[in-house]
Amino acid sequence: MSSDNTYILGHTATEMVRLTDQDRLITMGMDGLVPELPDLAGINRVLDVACGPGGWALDLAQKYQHLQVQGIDVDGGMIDYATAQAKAGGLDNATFRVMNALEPLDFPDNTFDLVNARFLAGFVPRNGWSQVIMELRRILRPGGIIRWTEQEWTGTSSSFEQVEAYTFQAMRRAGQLLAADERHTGITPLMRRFLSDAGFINVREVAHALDFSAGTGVQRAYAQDLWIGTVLLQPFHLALGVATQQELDDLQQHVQEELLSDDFYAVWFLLTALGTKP
Amino acid sequence: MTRLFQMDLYEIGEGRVLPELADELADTHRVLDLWCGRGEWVMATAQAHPDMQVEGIDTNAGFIEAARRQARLASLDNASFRVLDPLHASSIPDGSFDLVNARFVVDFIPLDSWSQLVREGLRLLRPGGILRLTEGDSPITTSPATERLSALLAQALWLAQRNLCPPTSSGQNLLITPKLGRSLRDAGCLDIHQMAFVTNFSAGMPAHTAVFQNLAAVYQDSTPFLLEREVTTAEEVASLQAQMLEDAQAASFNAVGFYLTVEGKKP
Repeated sequence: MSSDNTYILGHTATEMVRLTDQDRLITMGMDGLVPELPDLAGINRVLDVACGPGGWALDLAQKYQHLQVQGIDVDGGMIDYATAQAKAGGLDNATFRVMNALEPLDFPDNTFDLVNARFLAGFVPRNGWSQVIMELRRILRPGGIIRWTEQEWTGTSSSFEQVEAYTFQAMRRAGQLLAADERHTGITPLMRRFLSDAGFINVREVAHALDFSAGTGVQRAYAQDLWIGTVLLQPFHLALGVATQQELDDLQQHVQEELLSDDFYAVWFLLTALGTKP
Repeated sequence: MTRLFQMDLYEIGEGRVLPELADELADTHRVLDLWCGRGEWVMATAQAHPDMQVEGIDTNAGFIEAARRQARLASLDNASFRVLDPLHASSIPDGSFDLVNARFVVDFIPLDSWSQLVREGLRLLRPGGILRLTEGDSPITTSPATERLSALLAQALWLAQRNLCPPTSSGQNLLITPKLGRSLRDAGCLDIHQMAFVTNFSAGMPAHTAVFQNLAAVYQDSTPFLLEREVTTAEEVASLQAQMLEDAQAASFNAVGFYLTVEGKKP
């Protein structure tokens, strides 16, 4: 892990694969890549912030060949992978660069028509949000749109709830938690506020619910996503001292059993906030 | 027992009901609302769709009286109300309705009676009619006192086994929405859809007053329940409630509530 990578799931090939699968699950669950802007009218240049292995950006470039899609991520391994995927798919309208969204971005003012960002809460420090959002505003053209998505999970696995509690405790110790307690990341109530405070107008919020309960047909795919995520969070939990290796290993076993049980129910709420740069 | 958070109160007040139905509206004339309370949803629906006959039933005679009065004042001829237990509504013939609605009712129904609610709802529908259920989990706010009250209520409901999900979880969260879809699948409904909604009731937002007042009332009404389940003390809950009201006055108060509507058709 490079020292400036604050992403709590770290840098591994496994995370790259997990994020690639997760991109697909979310696009399917949201019923599209940009369901709130069905015709993408007036949009040519698109930035995907913290793009990971580039799943969303590549799918967008594939589907809308007139777009120029740029992905950025702090992780060079992710960017190499995304770049190779674009080449392999013959997508010369998708490009990727290593860039840290917590720092000033190497783009001129007014560059993009649409800036997409998903799941920033995994790496933005609690006092860093307004700087991140202001920087995204700077590189949008007037009339350009920010589209930002975060999540809240609710489900019947007590082991996974415990994993989340450890994660939130560790995030608090790392200065990355906004919530008043350890049941949520605390980001969803603040998204509209952050966009308004950064000067965005026409701010609106759209919710999606992804049901991956037993009997839905996607239970196994999501269970794998969450289970691998749980394994990859272990170093973060250990580094911040919220649990011992033994506790995490025991929990791991239960997480898998519970997520795959016939009695498992879960809804993943996604909140997408959109705003226009005046 | 108290009705839990009605996250859609602002939308209802603005007359935005049944936002997801488009094509089906032409075939939807007879509508029933279960546990209609004081009739807010029934009246908003009757007003927005003058061609519909909208009926509300509830066990609470005081609510039904208040709803009738309101409907008369608003001259709504297509809204009607009667005192009836939705779990025992055998006086209503089978197949009487095109749409049966129930919103934020989980706390009126013991966990093991939820399938009975779905069965009874389906009995009241004509074939092809729509059963529409709406529930939410706890809202998420930036007020520590509000979050603490939410956690206490979740814990008390969990101890009382009044979540919609079996008590396998830790009791930290309400866990109402995850099982809604499954309850319609298990009952054999067709064309099941789920739609997520969010209400932002931060300071300064149009929904702030209606949704926050409801939230405060829920916590007020649930005090005896919290004490009975021994999850808190009278002193703590009084101080949290006072703090919550103060927090909500601050310009920095931010809050969202997610809720889920699930619809399925009777085969």
